[in-house]
Amino acid sequence: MKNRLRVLRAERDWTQADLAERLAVSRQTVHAIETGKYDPSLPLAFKIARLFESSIEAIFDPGAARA
Amino acid sequence: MDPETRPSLPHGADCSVESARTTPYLFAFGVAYVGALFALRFAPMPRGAQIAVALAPAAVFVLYLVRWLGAIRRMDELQRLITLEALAIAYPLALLLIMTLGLLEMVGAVRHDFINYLRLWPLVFWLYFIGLLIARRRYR
Repeated sequence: MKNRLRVLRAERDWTQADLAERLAVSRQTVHAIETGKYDPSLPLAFKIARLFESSIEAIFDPGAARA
Repeated sequence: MDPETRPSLPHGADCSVESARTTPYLFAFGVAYVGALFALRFAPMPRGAQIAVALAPAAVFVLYLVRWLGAIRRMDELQRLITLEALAIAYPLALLLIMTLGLLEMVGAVRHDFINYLRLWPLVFWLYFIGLLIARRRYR
């Protein structure tokens, strides 16, 4: 699904590797989430929301979820 | 190096780090296996020694398997999913391959001495890597 992860990351001047380290996942996972190729699990989505001090709904757009 | 592509730190279970942890064991298995092949083919030895040499690569492979399972436990959720999809592709294909070869052998379409365990297992081994390539492409 579409999300604002890349925008939020860019606002903090983080690379994908920086974000991956903060989330304790691989850079490949961050890339796949940003490009909408992979939807994170609920625990990871909560971790992302906490990291960016936002809500899951504000970051991820379920209306544009992949079929 | 492009900051977008530099590798993650180890605790993120980056593929390249995990490969660095498991590849030496896979290489050791390769050496043990090739060594056993040559030894069994060219070095005369008593029957007991032959069996011990034949089993030695299996012991090394078990070491690799333990490291690989540890690597899977350290993987993040997407990497575990990719590994699962790779196995989901490879395992049924391996079954299909063996089943089909068995039937072809029954009707004489495949020579009994051509398809043996020594020639078959590398095919099964490569099916996993084909599955891994297919699974990884999906999330690239």
